[in-house]
Amino acid sequence: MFNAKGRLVAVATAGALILSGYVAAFAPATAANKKIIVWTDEQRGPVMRTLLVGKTPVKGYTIEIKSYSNLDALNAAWNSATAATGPDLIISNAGLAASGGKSGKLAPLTLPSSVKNQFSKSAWAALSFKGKVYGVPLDVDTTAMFWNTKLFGKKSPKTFGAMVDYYTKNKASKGLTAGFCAQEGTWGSHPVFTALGGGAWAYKKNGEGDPTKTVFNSAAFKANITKYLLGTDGKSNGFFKIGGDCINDWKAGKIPFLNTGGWNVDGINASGVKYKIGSVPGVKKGTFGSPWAGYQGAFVTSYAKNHGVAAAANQFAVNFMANATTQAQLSTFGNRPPANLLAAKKVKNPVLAGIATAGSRGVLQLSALLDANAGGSNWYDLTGDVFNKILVEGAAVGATLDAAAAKLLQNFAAGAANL
Amino acid sequence: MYRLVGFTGTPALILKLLLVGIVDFVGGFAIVSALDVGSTIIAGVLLVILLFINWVYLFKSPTPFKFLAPGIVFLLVFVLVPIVYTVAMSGFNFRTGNEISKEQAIEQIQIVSLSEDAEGTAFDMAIGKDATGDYALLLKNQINGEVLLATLQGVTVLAEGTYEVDELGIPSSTEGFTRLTNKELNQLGDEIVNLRFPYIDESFVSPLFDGLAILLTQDLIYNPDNDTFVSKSTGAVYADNGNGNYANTQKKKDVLYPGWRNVNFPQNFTGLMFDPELRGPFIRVLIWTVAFAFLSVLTTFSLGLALAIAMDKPIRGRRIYRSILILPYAIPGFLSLLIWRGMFNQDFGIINRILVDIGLIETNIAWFEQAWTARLMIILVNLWLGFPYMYLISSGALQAIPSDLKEAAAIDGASSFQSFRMITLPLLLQILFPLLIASFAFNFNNFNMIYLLTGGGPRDELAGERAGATDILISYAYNTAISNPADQNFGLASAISLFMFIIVGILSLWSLRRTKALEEF
Repeated sequence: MFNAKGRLVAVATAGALILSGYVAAFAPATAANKKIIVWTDEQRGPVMRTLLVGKTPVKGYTIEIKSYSNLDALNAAWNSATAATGPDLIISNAGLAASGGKSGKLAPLTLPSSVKNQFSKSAWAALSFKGKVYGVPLDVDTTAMFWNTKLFGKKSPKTFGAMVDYYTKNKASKGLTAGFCAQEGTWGSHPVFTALGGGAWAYKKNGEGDPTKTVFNSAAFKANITKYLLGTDGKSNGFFKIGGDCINDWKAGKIPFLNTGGWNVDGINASGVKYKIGSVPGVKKGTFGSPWAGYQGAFVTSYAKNHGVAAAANQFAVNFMANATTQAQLSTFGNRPPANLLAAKKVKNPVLAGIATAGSRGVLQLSALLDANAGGSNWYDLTGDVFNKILVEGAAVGATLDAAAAKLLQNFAAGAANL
Repeated sequence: MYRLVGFTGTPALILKLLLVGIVDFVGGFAIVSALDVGSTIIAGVLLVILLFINWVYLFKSPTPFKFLAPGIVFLLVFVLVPIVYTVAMSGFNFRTGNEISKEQAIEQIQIVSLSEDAEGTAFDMAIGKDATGDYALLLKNQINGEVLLATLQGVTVLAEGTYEVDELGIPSSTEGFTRLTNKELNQLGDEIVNLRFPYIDESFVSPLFDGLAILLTQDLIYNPDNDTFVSKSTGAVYADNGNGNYANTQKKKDVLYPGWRNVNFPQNFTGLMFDPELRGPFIRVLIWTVAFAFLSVLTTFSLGLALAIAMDKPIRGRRIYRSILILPYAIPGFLSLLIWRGMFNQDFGIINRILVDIGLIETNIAWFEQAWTARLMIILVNLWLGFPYMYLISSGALQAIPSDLKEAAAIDGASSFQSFRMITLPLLLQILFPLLIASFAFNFNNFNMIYLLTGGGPRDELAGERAGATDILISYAYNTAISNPADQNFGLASAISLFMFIIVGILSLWSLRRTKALEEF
């Protein structure tokens, strides 16, 4: 125990230390005002760091890149972000625009026409919520078909039926575990759905999407699933595999066709498999399936304002991230076609060009519609369940697709309010 | 004489001051950081904790406090505060789109309603001050090349020759305009985006960042007197709908985003009880949660007890067997779960391979895809993870049962089974009952098991199910609160958590009373 003098010393010491804590807390807060904090995933983090070497995108500010181990980790961190912990800018997929815009966690962008004109309207639409743009489009997330030329040959399959025939005839002799691997799950299965006459929503004559209608239960889709994907027992004929790391079997030469994105190209090249890139062929010669064309974006957060760097973060997004040179450099790292139209013209890499060509047949991935779950579950989970029921459980194709279509229309109707 | 962890006298005093000082330093830092981001409640709680610690260790506080203080602080921070926060949030409309405060929402709605003109007019810009000392902009229209001086009074078109341009061709000076220096610009910081200079037709020029300004109009005008927004373009009036959003007074479903976190007690609770979309899955999940917890205790206890009885008899290599039996307990649970997940894989898992090889099944079982196989799998895996604990406590309890009771029963002619049923089991249950209740409560909240093994699935997406077949209340609350970023509902998840808290609380209370009763016995 202390005497009176001792207590005085103790209180003075405690007070001094609390004060020093205050000073310590205040000092970095001031320093942080000159820092733009960017959150991104494990793929873009290193790329961004490389890109920023020797550059000062915003005069007087440093750019601090924090990369998370994967997109899920990034999203988890973003979900629990607060004004104290949140970033000034986040690089993520376009789906963030809807949730971030709705919650107020993202700040809307006001853009000069000189910047707007460098991107397609669909790119801006993908990054919008209720008509307001929330992010700068960075690159196109899309897929292409890679086929093993040692197995199938160098010439591309002309029809979907040609791929199924190849699988049926060579399954036993070549030890094939499947014919077609949609590595990216139901998202990456979209070219197969559309090649067989399915898809999410219908299209008007002028080419605009019409979310009041769906082609997921079209007569053609029902007939083609039965013809190409089912065996005599009414269950999967083994041709079509969704996700489950089937890419490993493709790399091992046990699956001839693979649908995936540029992010897997390094692993594919390392496997030593000789391949070519193209689009998934339709049931008729000259027709093709359509992959989703989603966008990654750079979003300025509303936390930037709390941190006193809103103007600088805007400048970084609009002047630097949207810039054609930046985007051309970004695309070379991740094998993703750039969203900036001027940058896209500069693409020379043949793999990237192949993916971009396949992606040019893509349809806009409108997250506001696809993520909506008014019908009980979103597009991705619902279609996964549908194909599990049809291929694994042997459910009736017509009734299953009709039930799914009804759910999808509920979702689309709810999601359309957010476009 | 002062004594502290082996030190005495002045060194002990210095060490004490140093330790308290470190706590004060960290606490002071945390308080300032909390205040810096407007978290006054957190700052207040931290301040109370800091004062408490200083009182305990620097003044004449009761001695027990000196030992209990760290525990009390951790109890407050990691147990009481989350409970209070969860209880509070269960009374709020706290979901995607309703997360921030009303003041922040009003500010954000005003920002969101700023629109560029149809042409996307932008200006190259120099910031300065006019003759009166107010901020002014020297602008060059990027589309038509027109040069303008914008002041707070309005814009003036400058004739060629009345201004000078810099090396980039951007106007830099004109009469009555003094450009800001770089140092002044840096000091301006974010103030730059708040500047508005009237243009024509109620539009205004606003700097986007240093060097670039943009022409904007504000569609939604906020009226603080009656707390409404009015749209200039449509005339629609948006008023507080009492549920955390501004809604069109003529069209209730037309709401403005973002909304704010609003008190809506008891909607989250009544929703769980009466909303068919929520009630159905909630009751189904509740039934499975109870069944899962009960079956887990029953199966693990049965196996654990059987093994304990078997090991209770002297057999060769008993120590080795005992060591092997507690191995699953020694391996981290999450690791075991991930291994089991792989073993149950439909295509590559060893379980299906064995079942096919021994001829029990012909085609692989989709363990994760069907509700009952997934539930069976969970019970089996939990049996593996849980039986060592039951084996250990049963072994201990068996030692505590006097052997003369069994000997007396044997003399009276009771069979082994009768002796077990009539003597051993009742006595064991009396001893172990509180532990079985605790195990039930643990499994009631066994999030890891569900999350790592099945993720709550399978879920019949086609039927629009909101909860999976193996979801228990805690995983259902997690999925409701976290898993879908587009539709998170923290308020509802808090209400579900509160239900769980009440159920587990009642069980714990019952268990405690039972323990007390046993003590008296």
